Amino acid sequence: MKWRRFLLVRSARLVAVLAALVVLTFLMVHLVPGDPARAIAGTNATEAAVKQTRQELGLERSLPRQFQHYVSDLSHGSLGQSYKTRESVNAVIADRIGPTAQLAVFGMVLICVIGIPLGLIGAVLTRSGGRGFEVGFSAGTGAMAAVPHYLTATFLVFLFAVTWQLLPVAGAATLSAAVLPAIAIALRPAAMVARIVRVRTLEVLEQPYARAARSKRLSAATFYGRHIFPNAMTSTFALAGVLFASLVGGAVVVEQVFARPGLGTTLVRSVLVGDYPVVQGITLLLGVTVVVVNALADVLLAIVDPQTLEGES
Amino acid sequence: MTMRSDAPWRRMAGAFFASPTGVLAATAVLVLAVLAALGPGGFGAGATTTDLAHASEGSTAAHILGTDGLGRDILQRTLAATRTSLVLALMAVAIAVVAGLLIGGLLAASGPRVRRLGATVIDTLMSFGDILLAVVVVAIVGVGARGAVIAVGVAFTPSFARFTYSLVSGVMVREYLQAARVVGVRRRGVLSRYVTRNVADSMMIVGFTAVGEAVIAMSSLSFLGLGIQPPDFDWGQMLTDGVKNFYLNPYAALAPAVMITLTGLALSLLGDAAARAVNPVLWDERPRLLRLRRRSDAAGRTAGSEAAEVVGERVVGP
Repeated sequence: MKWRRFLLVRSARLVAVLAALVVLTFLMVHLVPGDPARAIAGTNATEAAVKQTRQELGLERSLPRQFQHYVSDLSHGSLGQSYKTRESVNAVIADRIGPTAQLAVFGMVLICVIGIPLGLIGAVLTRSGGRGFEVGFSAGTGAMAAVPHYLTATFLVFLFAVTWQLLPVAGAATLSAAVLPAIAIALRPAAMVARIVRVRTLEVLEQPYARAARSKRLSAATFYGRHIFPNAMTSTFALAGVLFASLVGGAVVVEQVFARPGLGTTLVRSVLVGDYPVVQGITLLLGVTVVVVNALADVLLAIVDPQTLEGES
Repeated sequence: MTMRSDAPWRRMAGAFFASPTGVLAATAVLVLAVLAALGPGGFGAGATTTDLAHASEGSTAAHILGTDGLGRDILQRTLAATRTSLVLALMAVAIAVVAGLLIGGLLAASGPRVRRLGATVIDTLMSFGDILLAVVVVAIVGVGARGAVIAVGVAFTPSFARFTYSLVSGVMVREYLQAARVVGVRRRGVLSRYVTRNVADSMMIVGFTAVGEAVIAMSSLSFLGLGIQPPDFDWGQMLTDGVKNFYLNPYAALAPAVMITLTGLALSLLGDAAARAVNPVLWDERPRLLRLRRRSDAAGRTAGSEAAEVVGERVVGP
């Protein structure tokens, strides 16, 4: 019963957010000052040419009509047509999504592989190591989290590609070309995860049941592995959605450094040349992905930790 | 907790400087303020004078950190960029604070339906992450310094709006506020005496951290070519240039990189210290930073860590 209610509330919220996304991306193009038809036709185009462009793009219709068209196109799975190349936005995205998706998956894996163990080890060592370690850990992960993505990327390029010449630095032709960009986008969120995991683990260690488990004189492996870590992880899991969003944002910047032909580089280039349908399409796609991942993370969290069902409804 | 007879401001200052990070952050921010006050002109003409005969040199006696691709002195240029970088970040945060206060305050004051709709829109915007949102806003308002300031301002607005919203709705249901109403304090009195005070304190703390993040966001936009355009320069733009000449003179990229990172760190530490200072509960807590925190509810979550969790997805460690 609780589950039914939870799923109902959660999916209602998901639908509302998706609807908001559609409206916002639609309005985005119409907030741009100036006449897009003139911008596309060129500054010295004749009035007739501009008028024709406007008609081709459907810009002469009223705003509600245009929105209606936008939504009906979307329901058919069409994201419109590029102003510049007249290519369909779907084709542009299909062409560029591979390298970005690869980066996101690699990044997420790296965040887990680096962040979670670092946080757990940090918590254990804080218990035994004391002050010096705690300050060092906070400062280290704090600095890691403060360095912007593109800086990490630049340093990695310098070290691996220029000094040691180990890994490729540009393009997306091979799998190894994804290694450096993935490290670059993962380090910052991994530091955040490590900090959070450490704090949560220490919190769990303060709980009465942790003290009870400790008093049973369990081996360290059983104590941490069975009683502490699983409980610390569930509350950390709640952050998956936020992390994914930060990963997507990082990809936009990092792809630029590594000249990866992905959605991020395409987005930035389209902004620079004013190709709004492409900007709109990519924004909508990234937005929907983030929102859906968030919703899935909430459901998974509820499966792992049914207590969250109470708070939701 | 021992009560002391000192004046409140003295105890506030005591709490602020109680940890070494507070002292460090205050010093760093003071240095930054002085650099910004000296302005672009205060460090010699080397910041903008091109000298192609000495382009992209490493460290020399004349140029301690070498020169960039056009022979401009990196050290002078980095220092000269302080004002632009900080002013742009401050302007962006000012936009975000004002817009966030307005939107958040209005939402908190409106009916449940509007509230739910507003929260949905804010959540949607926040799920984008600040860089992506800023890029989208630049697409609307145009490339350049003005566009970048607006973009970062707008990108930071949802988190400020949400923060204000939860802060105001949190204060509104407190018992002392209901008590104040019962004894006949007018609406305006309630607002100015209780709500504003509470919001202002927390806002200041979040603001410090946000300025540091705005420096980073702004430099990211400049790095993507969407922010400040030559001949103007900030740290982000210097970095873009420096990266191109990384092999000839790495300092050209490292110097602005270090400044961006240090500024971000100093301002977020300042936020933490300010959080200790405005929370009377923590006034008499002497250096806890170095000790494993025993979680008591009053001291466990400072306004700062709560604030930081809302604004940057980062959590301030104990």
